Amino acid sequence: MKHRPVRVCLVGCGAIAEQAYLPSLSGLEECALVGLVDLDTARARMLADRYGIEHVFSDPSRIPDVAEAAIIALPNFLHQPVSCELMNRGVHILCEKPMSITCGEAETMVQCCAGNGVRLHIGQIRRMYWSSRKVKDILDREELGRVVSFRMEEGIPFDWPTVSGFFFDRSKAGGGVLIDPGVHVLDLLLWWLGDNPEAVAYRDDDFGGGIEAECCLDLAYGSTAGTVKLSRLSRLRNTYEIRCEKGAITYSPYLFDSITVQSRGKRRELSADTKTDFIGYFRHMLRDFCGAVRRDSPSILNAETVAPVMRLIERCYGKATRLDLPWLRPQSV
Amino acid sequence: MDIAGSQILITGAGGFIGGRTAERLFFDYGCRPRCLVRNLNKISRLARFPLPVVQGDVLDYASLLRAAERCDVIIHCAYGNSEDDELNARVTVGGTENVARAALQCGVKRLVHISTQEVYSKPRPAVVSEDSPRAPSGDPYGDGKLQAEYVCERYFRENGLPVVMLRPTIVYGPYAPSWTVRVIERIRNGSLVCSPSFTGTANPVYIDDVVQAIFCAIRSDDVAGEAFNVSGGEAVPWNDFFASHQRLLGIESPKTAGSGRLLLYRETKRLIKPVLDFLKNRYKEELLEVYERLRKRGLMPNMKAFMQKGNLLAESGTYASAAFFPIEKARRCLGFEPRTSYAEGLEILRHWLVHISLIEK
Repeated sequence: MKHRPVRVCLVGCGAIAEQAYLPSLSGLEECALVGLVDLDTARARMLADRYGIEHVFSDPSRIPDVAEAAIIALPNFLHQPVSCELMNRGVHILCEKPMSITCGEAETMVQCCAGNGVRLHIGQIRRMYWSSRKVKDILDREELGRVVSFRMEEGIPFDWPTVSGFFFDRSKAGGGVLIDPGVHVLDLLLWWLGDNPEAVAYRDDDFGGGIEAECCLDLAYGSTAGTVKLSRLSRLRNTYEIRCEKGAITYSPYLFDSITVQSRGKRRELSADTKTDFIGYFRHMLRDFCGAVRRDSPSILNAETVAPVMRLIERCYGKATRLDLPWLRPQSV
Repeated sequence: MDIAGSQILITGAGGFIGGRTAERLFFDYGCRPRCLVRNLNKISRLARFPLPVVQGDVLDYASLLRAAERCDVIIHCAYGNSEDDELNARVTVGGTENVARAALQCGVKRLVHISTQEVYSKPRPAVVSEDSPRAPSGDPYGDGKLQAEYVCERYFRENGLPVVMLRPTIVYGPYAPSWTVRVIERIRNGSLVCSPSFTGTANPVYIDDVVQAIFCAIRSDDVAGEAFNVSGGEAVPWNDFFASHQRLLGIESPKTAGSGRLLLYRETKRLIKPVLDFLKNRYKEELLEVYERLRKRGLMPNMKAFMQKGNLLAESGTYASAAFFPIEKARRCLGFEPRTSYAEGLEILRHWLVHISLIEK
């Protein structure tokens, strides 16, 4: 049976809205984008005109009048208050990652969702990638045996066309590279290997500004140990290597549709039958959300399955020590 | 002038030299300089520190003036580095004019203008001292910086602006875009090799020595209106410069190409480029997909590297220049002394390359 489209408002008209949500919502038949919400109503109006969107508001409290769901694409510190305010009024939410800026806020969001009987999804889009699902499938089925170790590296000089610049304000972003893009990396790790790794050590380069640009984590699942290295300053290897008893998986965060598997001395590239680009995966995520709203179908982006990553991030920040960066050391003057 | 007690503005603080200067002011003097940036997405390095970041533009005089208010010192690092040569000229020359004007209006006690060795005329003599001739060379970067120096000199002459111009040579070090990051990237993709045609010498200077020269220029009296070479004081043959970077990456026998091969690279690029441009314009997406598939299987060369190799012959003019840029004037007038030898600089780079996972410990 064909369902009527879910009426949605997009809250926040910054870079992610312009570059990802608006193009992917355009022409998506499961979803009708009926309103844009932003304090900067001139910008919202400009985007609404471009995409033929009916309503423009500056105040999210007007959303329940016109829509049954909202996409929250606001600066991180607003994710929890705005999501909860709308859920309390019966609005289903798809919230951009990171879910919140603290673990406590994430828990509040999960409780608020349960208490109001609405859907709360978090935009951890990488879970939708063919490559991420393939890794999960191989690990769940123990095709290569038990995981022995992992090494995940992701780094590229930061060049996101931020409109508000909130990324560089600790009180608004919640942190630096660990919370973004680290939340993607750690969310996949937790999804693949389990929700409760021990954070053995966490080092970063925050010298009091509150926004670390590089960090290294040592994590352990019992005897399975691994490292995560993140950078906003340099291009790192940009691969995740997961070593198992009978082989290894190499995953690239920028290749959505293929992974490399090494076993019995041979390397094989596994690829999806059909290619999907970044916008295509946003559409998958939006369809998944609309399906959950209309049919109450299960989803891998449910807030409660995503929330544990916020616990891990908070634990890491709580035990931060300084990275050893000899080239930064003060010189005698 | 006392640096620790000064209010300092850095233009272009999101860039490499400006960013490192801000870090060193914080570490060495406990200063919190105002950091003027145009693009907020360029402040990842600065945001690690509790430094005031001011969004503004050297072409927007009002924003510049606000940033310069009550400043004792301006360190002017901003320049045009976009793809648009016309805009770059406006930022480099017009921006410097605005900075000079704002410095004058705010009564700053020192403006340090970051210039470049590229202002000197070519071909260069064996020794290029500060009074060697300057002339446009047709290189937009060097020509813009030369015009910016003329602006500074005019403001000094006509208004007594206390400006000092520094002319760094080949600035390298962690995160140095041109002479570290790009060199490493090109060696790794095979587009930068040694050559018997590269008979000249580089005058490398480690980034912290450039910053040291900036500090010396702030501290020194009686140097207004003067320009200074800033180098590490060593002449390193270009082939040694490239070979030492190759060794850092674990390439023990330097990769070399004779002049015939450089010519071959250039001519191949000349023939292939129009065909590639045509295909790219017509079948961009499809072509990229096929190319990536073939490249991953080792059936296609890295085309970016291939094209960059085609530039080597043109670059060999730079690498054949044996000019030495003495720093005696900076030593004498500013008390500047480089502290990081090239060998020490390479050792720091080795640590950094391990950190960014390009080499193993």
